[in-house]
Amino acid sequence: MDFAFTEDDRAFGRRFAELLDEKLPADWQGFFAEDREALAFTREFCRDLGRAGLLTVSWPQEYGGQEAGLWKQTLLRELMTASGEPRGPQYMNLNYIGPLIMKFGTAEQKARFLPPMARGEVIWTQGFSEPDAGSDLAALRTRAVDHGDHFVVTGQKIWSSYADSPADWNLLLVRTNPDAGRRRGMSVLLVDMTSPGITVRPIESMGGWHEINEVFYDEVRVPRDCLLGPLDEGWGVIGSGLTLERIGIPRYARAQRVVERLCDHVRETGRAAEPDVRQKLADLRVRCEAAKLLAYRAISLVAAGANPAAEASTARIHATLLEQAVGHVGLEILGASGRLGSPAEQHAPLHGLVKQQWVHNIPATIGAGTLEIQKNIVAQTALGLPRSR
Amino acid sequence: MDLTLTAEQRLLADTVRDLVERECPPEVVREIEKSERGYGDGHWKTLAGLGLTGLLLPEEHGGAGQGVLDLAVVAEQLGWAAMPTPLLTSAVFAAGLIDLAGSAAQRARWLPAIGAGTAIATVAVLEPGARDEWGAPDAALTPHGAGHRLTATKILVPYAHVADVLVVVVEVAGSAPGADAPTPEADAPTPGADAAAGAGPGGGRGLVLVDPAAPGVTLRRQHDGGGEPVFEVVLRDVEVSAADLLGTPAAAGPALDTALDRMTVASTAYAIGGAQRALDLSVEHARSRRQFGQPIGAFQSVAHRCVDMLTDVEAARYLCYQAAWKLDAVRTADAAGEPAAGEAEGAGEPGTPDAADFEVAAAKSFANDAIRRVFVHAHQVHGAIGFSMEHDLQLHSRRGKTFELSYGGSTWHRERVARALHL
Repeated sequence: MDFAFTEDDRAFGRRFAELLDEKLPADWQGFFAEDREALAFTREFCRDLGRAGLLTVSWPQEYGGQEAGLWKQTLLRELMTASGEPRGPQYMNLNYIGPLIMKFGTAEQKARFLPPMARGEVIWTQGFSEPDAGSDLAALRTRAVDHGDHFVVTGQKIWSSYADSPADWNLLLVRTNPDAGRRRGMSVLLVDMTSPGITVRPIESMGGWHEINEVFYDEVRVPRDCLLGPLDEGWGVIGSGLTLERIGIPRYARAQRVVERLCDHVRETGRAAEPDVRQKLADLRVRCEAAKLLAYRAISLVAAGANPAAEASTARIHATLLEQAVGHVGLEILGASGRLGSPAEQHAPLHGLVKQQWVHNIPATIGAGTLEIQKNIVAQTALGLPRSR
Repeated sequence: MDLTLTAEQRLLADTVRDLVERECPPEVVREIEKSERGYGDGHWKTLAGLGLTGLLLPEEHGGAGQGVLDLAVVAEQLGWAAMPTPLLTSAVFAAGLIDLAGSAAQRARWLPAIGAGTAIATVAVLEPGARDEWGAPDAALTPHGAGHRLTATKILVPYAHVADVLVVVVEVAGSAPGADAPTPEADAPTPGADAAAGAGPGGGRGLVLVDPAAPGVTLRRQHDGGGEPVFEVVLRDVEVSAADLLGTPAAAGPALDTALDRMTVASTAYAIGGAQRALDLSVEHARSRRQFGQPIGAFQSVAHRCVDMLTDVEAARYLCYQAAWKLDAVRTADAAGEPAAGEAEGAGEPGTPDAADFEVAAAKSFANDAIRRVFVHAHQVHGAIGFSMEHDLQLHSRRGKTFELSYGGSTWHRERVARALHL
């Protein structure tokens, strides 16, 4: 057991920290700020990193990567997440869509889809949830009819992140065999978002700009060579992707950054001596540490060759609750002035950072499987409890 | 970075687990708790035979020279079985004080015997009304002839009835209680820092060795429900020679702080083992107990409590391992005269290179709260049977509450964290 990074890993982290210092605009508030221009910056940032070969450092060399180890990858993700994710929507390419294509894709699919991701030139969205298939994802009805050399897709997806960015491609879960039972008969299609028949309707969220969308498919033609993995076995493909996504975002790193800013703030405003402020900030910081170690434990198991599905869910449960706590407790510490949350408001403490932490994490315990679904997974897989609903 | 146990640590854990499953089932724990001795002599000999009493002690004194992390792995399994044992008190806390503060003669006299399990040592630190082990003691040494006399009342001293030597924490004359407690800014003492009175380097505390059989020493058994035999130790004009002083006043305070941190982490590991057992019992109950025609674990309200317990136990466990690892890193670095390894990069990282304050206080404050929650859930999942003395849950939930009240409460340790964050 070793709780230290190697000097090599730390040097890698320092290099990226310097890169971020150099590239991020002085007033950078993060990708999730109420600023549509942030999106343009993320595209430019990804192309820059892609040109330097730094976007996909963790990927295998044959797909444009440098085979950086799991811990370098972790440090990189922590820095990006803590800095408000300057890669924008493209973190999804790197965290799980690219790895899914590496795992399940044909040679042609890998050659076609992975290099643009490595160059930072492509935005992917995903289509899983439907209006009547949320936590019960297996109830999805969007239908893909097999026409031999192509599928015809008709249906409706919701909560498709970044579809309005606009997204270029879509990782879409559809029903290909309606008679095969709930979890059987689903397939994953890679869908060109410029295909005729696709309509994107942005959904305004509490967080400001349109990061979530409804997507309608009206007889959309998808070539057969865009089927990812085996026909009718898409549930397994997506399940493996969701495990990656659950530990892919080091949410504790952003939470810790906000706690650190709050520590600076109370020192600067002479409030660091207030006992309840000290207690609250210490508690939040300890919870950041706990969430980090749970993530590191899951990553250690991956490094040892295991598939830590339950551990990934445990880590995610802790991290998402922490993110919400940092928003709530942080605002309580700021008090009335914390109501001012807009970065443009000159009297907003910390440029609204803490209020944004609150609002953007309302769905933290909902996306990629609700808190309750995560707990069901842990109850069944780690504790061997009976299936419950 | 690798948060998996090494093959040696796994072997150590498995060995101790096999031992406690074989020799320390709950009915044996119940018998031991009712006995005068309060621990199993056979268990003690077995632990000593495995070298566990000497695990942490230096090789030059016959110990194994292993780390707090190895000890934590052992303690976790002992806690899983709720085994009453002087192992932590004697071989971690008291032996740590003698090792850190003692003269060559004191170390040679006690460490090999404690390490071999042929001697038991304990620490008398708490006094009536004390909130934690870091408080300034009233125990007073008064000069007498060539030496001193000691008068004090200590409480909750574990295994004092079988101890060959007591390490007694005393006030060092001339230092006001808490005078050396660090505050964030010298010119701006913080209300929060009140909680830290008595802690820190020096801290006005000294250490003396007392023979429990010496004239003027009386013991009275106390009952705190925590599963260990504990005693009030009254010292009335007990003679203390120069040879009985453990370290100079300047060395004793820091030694006490370091030994307290090691003991805090070791007892946290023991308590996490108990919380894991409470989770195991709860899951077993949720799977077998049927109501409304199905196992109660099929109800989400029950299943999710079990998951909450697991999440808390796991987080506490890795914070505890990290604290143990950091204490070992600090010890290794101190021995080599270098800064400790593993200091994380970047601004805002707490702690100084040479201190494990953040890691230890993070582990204990989190574990206190987490273990409290775990036992609330465990009792709720068990229903009425969990409140009965016939059920095994009480063995662990009594120890859980004792743990929460020992070696610093959550508020105390969170204040330590705040100071480590430079608040």
